[in-house]
Amino acid sequence: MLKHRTQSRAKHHSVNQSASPAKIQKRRLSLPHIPLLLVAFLLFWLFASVVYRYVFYMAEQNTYFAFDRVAMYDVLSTPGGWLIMAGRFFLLSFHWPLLGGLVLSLFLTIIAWLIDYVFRLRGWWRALSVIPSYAFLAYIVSIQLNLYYELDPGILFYVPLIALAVMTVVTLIVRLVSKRHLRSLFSLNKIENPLVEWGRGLIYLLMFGVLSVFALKTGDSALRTAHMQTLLQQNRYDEMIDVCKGMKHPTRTVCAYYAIALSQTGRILDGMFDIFYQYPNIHLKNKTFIDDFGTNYYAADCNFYSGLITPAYHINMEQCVIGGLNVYRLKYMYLCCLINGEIPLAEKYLRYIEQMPFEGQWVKKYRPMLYNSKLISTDPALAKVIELEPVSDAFEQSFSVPTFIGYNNSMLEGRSERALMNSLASCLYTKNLPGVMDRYGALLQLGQQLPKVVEEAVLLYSIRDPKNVDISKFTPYIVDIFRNFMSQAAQYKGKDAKYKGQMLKNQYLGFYPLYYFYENVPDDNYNETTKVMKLGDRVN
Amino acid sequence: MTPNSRIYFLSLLLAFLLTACGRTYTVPQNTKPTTQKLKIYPDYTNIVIPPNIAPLNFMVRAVGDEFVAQIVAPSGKQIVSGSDETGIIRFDSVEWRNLLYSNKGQSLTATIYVKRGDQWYVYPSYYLQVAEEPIDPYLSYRLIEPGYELYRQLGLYQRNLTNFDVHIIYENNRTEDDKNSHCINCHNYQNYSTKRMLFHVRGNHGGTIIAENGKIEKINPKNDSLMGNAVYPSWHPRRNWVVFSSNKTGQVFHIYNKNKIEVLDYGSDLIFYNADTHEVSNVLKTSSDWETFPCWAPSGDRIYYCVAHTSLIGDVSDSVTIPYAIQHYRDLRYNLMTMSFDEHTMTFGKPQLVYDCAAHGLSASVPRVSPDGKYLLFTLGKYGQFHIWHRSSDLYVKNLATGQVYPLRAANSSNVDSYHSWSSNGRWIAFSSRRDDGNFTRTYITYFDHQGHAHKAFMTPQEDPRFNLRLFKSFNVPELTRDAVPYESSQFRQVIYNTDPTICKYREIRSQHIGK
Repeated sequence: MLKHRTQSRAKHHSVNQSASPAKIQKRRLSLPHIPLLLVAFLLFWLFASVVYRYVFYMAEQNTYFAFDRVAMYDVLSTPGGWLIMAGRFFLLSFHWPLLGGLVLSLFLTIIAWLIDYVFRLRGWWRALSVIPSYAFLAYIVSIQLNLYYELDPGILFYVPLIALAVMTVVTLIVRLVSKRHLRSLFSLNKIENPLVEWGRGLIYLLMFGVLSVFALKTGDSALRTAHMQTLLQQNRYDEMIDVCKGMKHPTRTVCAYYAIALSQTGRILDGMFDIFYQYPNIHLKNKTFIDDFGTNYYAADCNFYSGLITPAYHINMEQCVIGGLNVYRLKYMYLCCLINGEIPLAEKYLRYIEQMPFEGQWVKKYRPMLYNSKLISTDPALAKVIELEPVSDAFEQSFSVPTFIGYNNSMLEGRSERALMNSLASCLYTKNLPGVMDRYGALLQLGQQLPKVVEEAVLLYSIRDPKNVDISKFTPYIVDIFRNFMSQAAQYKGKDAKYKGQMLKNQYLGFYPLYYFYENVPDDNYNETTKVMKLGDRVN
Repeated sequence: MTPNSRIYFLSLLLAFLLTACGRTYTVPQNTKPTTQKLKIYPDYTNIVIPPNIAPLNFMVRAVGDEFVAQIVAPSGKQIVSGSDETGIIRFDSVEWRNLLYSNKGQSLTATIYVKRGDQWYVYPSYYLQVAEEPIDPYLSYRLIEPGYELYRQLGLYQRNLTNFDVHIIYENNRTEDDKNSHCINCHNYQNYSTKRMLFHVRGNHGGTIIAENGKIEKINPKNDSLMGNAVYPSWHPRRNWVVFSSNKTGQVFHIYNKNKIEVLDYGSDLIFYNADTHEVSNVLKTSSDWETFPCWAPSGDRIYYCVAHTSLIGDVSDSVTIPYAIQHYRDLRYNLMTMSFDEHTMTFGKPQLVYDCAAHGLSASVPRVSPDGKYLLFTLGKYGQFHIWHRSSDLYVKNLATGQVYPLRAANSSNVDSYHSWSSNGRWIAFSSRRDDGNFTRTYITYFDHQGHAHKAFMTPQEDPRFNLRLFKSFNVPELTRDAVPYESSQFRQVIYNTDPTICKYREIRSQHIGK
C-alpha cells in the first residue's frame, strides 16, 4: 500500500512534473517581440505615401522653395518665416510621395518615441504615444484642400518640426535629471509582455484603419481633386474621367477637372452629364481665412484649358500675390507666356521653376519651347488649348464669372469645332437654352451628328411651344425617354427639385432634362455664386 | 610651440586669410578677340553715368570658366574685377567711387575677358561716360507685384543710389490680416526734398499721410463737394499747397491682349489742398472733361496737367460714365494743358493747350517740368492715361521755349516706358520701364544733356546683378530726392494705425476756367 501510494505520489509527482512544462510553455506562448515603433513608422508611411499621397504631392506643388534669398524674401521677412521655410524644405520630399512619406513618418515616429520616453508610458498606455501623430494626420485630413488653399502647405512639416523640437528639449531635460536610458528607435523591448505588444500593434493598425477610412470618406474630394491634377500634369485624361466617375457626389473641384479632361479629349458633350451635379460644400477658406467656394482653386486651370490664356494668367498671378509663389501656378504662368509669345517673361518664370529642387525634368521638357515656337503648337496638350483661344479681344468683366463659363456662354465665334462644342457645353451647363439654340444652327451646318444632350436640350426648348414642335425632327427614342421621364417626375409632385433628382438619377443620369430640372439646384445654405475677395481698395 | 610649428601655423593662418578675403584678378595677357557679341545683364554698355552712382555690377551672359572686367580711365588708372563661371562681376565700392570721382566728364573704357579652357578671349570694349553732374542720391519707390486687384504685402522704400542701402519708408502688414490690410501709393515730395512728403493709405486705416518738418499727420481730403478722393499729387515748389487729381478709377482685364489690364478713369477733376489750413477746393470740376496728373512748374506760377474731352453732357452718374469709359477706352486721349496760378490771390487762370496729343492720335500722362523750367517731360501712348500697362508708351519732351515735341529715342525701348521724375539738377531722369520682360517694372536712369537729348538708359544698379531677375515685384513711381526720408517706419505706422484722419473743410477758390 505504501509502495502504491508512493508510486501514486511518484506518478502524481511525475504527472505534475510533466504538466508544468506545458503550462510554462503556454505562458510563454510564442508571440515574438515586435519593434512597435517600426510598426508605427510603417503605418505612417503607408498612409502618407499611399493613402493620402496625391494631396501631399499637390501640397508640394502648391508651394515654392528655392535656395535664393531674393525669391524667398516674402517668406523670410514674415514673422516665423524661417519655420515656414523649414517646413517647405521638407515638403519638397513629397515630390516623390514614397520619399515624402518616409520623411514625414520618421518625424511622427520620433515624436511618438520621445513621448513614450518622457512620460514613462508602460504597458497598454504606451499606445497613447502615437496619438498626437495620428491626431495631427487627422487634422491634416480634416482641412482637406485648405492644406494649401488656405494655409501654407509647409505646415505639414513645420508642425511636426515644432513638436519634435519641443520633445527633444524635454527629453534632454528628463534624461539629464532622471538619467533614464533611452532605448533606440526601432529596437525590441524584451522586457515587455509580447501579448501587450501585439495588442498595441493591433491598436496602431486600428488607428491607421480609422484614419484611412476617415481620409477616404472625409478627404475623398480632396484626394480625387489632387489625383486628377496629378494626372492632368501627365496628360492622362481618361484616368481623370474615371476618377471623377468613381465619386458618388462629385464636388466642384472634381467636376472642374472632369470638364478639362473631357474638353482635352473632345468628349465634352458626350460625357459631361454622365455625373450627377449637386455640389456638396467642400468647406474651403481662402488665404484671408474667409469662406470661399473654391473657384480660385480651379478657375485658372479651367481658363487655361478653355483657351483663355490671359484670364488664366490673371488668376494665377493674383493667387501668387495673395498666397506667395507656387510652382504649380508658375508652371501655368510660364505656359501662358509661351503661348502669348511673351518670351522674356516666360524666361523669368522658368528661372523660378528651375531654382526649385526636383523640377529639372519639367524644365527639360518645356525649356526648348522658349526657343522654338513650333514645339508649342505641336505639343498635343498645348495645341488643344491654342485652338480654343478667342478670336478677338474683350474684357473679362463683359462675361459672368467664372470667366471660362461666362465667356463660353457668350461667345459666338471660335477658331475650331471644339470651341463650338465647349461653348455649347457651357450653355447646357448654365441651362441657357436660347444659347444652345443659337449654336445649334452652327452645329447643323457642320453636318455632324447631333450630340445626344444637344438634341435633348433642343427638344426641351421646343416643348415650350408644343404646338410648333415637329416631333419627327427628333430621334424617336429620345422623345419616348422624355415622355417617360416627365411622367415619372410627375409622381413626385410636391417634392423639391433636389429630391426628385435623387429619385430619378439612377434611371436618367446622362439625360439632359434631368440635369436641367433637377441637378445643380441652388442651395440656400450654400450659395452657388462666386464670392469675390475684398482686401481693401482696388490697386491702381 | 616649436618655432617650426609656429611658422607652419602662421602660414596656414595667412593662407586662410588670403582666401577668405577673396581672390584678386589681373588683366589677362595673350588674349584673342572673340567673335561673339558681348551680352551683359543689366546692359551697362555705352552709357552716361553719374559720378556718384553705386558700382554697376553686372553678369556676363556667356559660357566661360572665368571672367575678368577691366575699367580704364584716360589717365591709365584702372579697376579690375573678376568672376568664376557664374559671370557675376562685382566692383569694389571704394575703388569704383574713386575712379568715377576722379574722372568726371571723362570717358572710361570697359573691357571684358572670358577664359575658355586655357585661352583668354577679349570682347570689344565699350565706354562708360562719367557725367559732370551727380544724380540726386535718393530714389523712392513702391514695391508691389504687377498684379490685378488683390494685394498683400507692399511697401514704400528709399534706395541710396550711391551705394546699395535700402531704407524702409513704410510697409503694410506682412501677414494676412483682413482688419488691417491696406494699400499705400502715390508718394510725393516737395521740390526734391523729403522735408515735406506725402502718400496715401487705402483700405483699412485709410487717409493721406502728410509728413513735414518732423510732424506726421493723417488727413481725409474727401468731401461732398469733390468728385472723390485725392489721388495723384503735386506739391507746390515752395508753399504748403498740393494740387491733386481726384479720380474715379477702375480696371478691366483683357482676355486676348498682351497689355492685360486697362486702368480706366471714368471721371477726374483737379483739386487744391492747403496743408496749412486743411482746406480743399475744386480747381477744375467738369463732367465732360476728365482732368488728371497735375504738376507744378518749378516757378510755382503754373500747373500742367492732362485732360481728356468726352462727349458726355451734364452731370451723369457712374452707371453712364463707366460703360462709356469701357466702350471708348481706345478713343480716350489726353492732351497736355496748363493753367497759370497767382500765388497771392490763389487764383488759377484759364486752361491753355500745351500739346494736342489727340490730334496726333496719341495720349499723354504724367507731365513733369524740368527744374530749370525749360522742358516738359511726359509719357505718350496710343490712348488712355495709365501707361504702365501700354506697351506703346514712350517718354517725350516738349521744349517749352521752342515748342518742339520729340521722343527721347535713346532712352526709350520697344516696351513700356513711363512714370518719370527729374533729378533736382535737371540732368537725370528716373523712369519706369518694362523693357526687360514686358511685365515687371524696373527703374531706369537716363542722362538728359544740355541740348535736351536723353542718352541710353541703364537699370538702377544692384549689389547682386541677378536681383532684378529674381524679384517678383515691380518698382513703382520712382522719385528722386536730395535727402533721405527722416522718419522711421514705426512713426508712420503709429499715425496710420492709431490716429483718426483730420477731416478737411471745403473752400472755394477763384479760377477762370470755363465749365461747371
